Amino acid sequence: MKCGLKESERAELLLRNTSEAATNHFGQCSSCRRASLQQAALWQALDSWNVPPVSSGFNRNLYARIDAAAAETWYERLAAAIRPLFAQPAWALGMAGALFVAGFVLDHKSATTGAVHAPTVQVSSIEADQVEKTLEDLEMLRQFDLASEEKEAASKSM
Amino acid sequence: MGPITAPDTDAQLMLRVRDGDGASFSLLLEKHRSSVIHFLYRMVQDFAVAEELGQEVFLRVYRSRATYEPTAKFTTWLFRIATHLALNWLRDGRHERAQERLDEEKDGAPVLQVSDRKPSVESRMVYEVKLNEVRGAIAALPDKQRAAVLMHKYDEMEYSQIAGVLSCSESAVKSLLFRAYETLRARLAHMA
Repeated sequence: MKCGLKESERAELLLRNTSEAATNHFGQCSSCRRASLQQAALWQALDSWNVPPVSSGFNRNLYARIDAAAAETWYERLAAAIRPLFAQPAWALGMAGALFVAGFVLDHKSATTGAVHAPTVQVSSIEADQVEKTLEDLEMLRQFDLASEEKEAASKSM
Repeated sequence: MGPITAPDTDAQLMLRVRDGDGASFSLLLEKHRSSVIHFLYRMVQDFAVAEELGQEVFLRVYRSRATYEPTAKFTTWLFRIATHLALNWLRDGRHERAQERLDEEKDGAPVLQVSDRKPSVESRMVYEVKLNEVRGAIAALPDKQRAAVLMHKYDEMEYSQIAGVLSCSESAVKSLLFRAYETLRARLAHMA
């Protein structure tokens, strides 16, 4: 017999199978009754998975790490914070791109400073545009990265 | 998530940690150490790695004390950090390298001694076989489903809390759990 309940309703009944609603439904639906018995057996099987006790040195090691972290300088903390970003190719590429653009802008500025004095305001606006463009590019790269991660996560959870 | 009106006991302890009370951090550590490490162990299935990640979890909690705000239940925040670290570890593929180590030293966990008064060798072997099947079935679940099942089954978390940890809706959590348990029932049906 095929159960007429929606997936979320079946989930609710199976995961809270001692409720009155569940008992009533299982009395009428053989499919859900069978699933409920299998679920009970599954929980029993999962109960058998015991884990070893935590090592006696866990706290000692943790406090040692906390002390070491407290002794870190600000630049070590900064390096530790941004290190994971460089493990992601898109971020590394984005940062490399940003450095390249920044170098180009600075180089361009030094090349034009001596020759042209009048359009100083114009040069500043070009810089602002370029920086804005770079930030947009970085954001776009980040969005691509996030989108691909979400897509991957969604395909895994399906 | 907006600020909650009455912070839970753990959140109050954490607020004291923020104010420089080290004893409150010790209390939080004692209270949640086992559940966090056991969760991590069941996620990554390597005890040495679980303890390493567990240390990272509590180190991050300590480091974040200055900016801590009780915007959610403390355990939701704690398990969000733990889940994030476990999922990253699994995604980085470090489990493959750890697997090589597992072949040499099973689990990284202390080997249990079997004396004459303990269950017989045969029943111990049956238990080991069943346990390996359970572990294998859990490990084969997609990462998010695995995390949801472990929090639901072993930490008895409410759907809303699991949703907070996994940053998804309650209905999404129910769906994850339903599918995960359906898969597990099918894989472990012969054990019933």
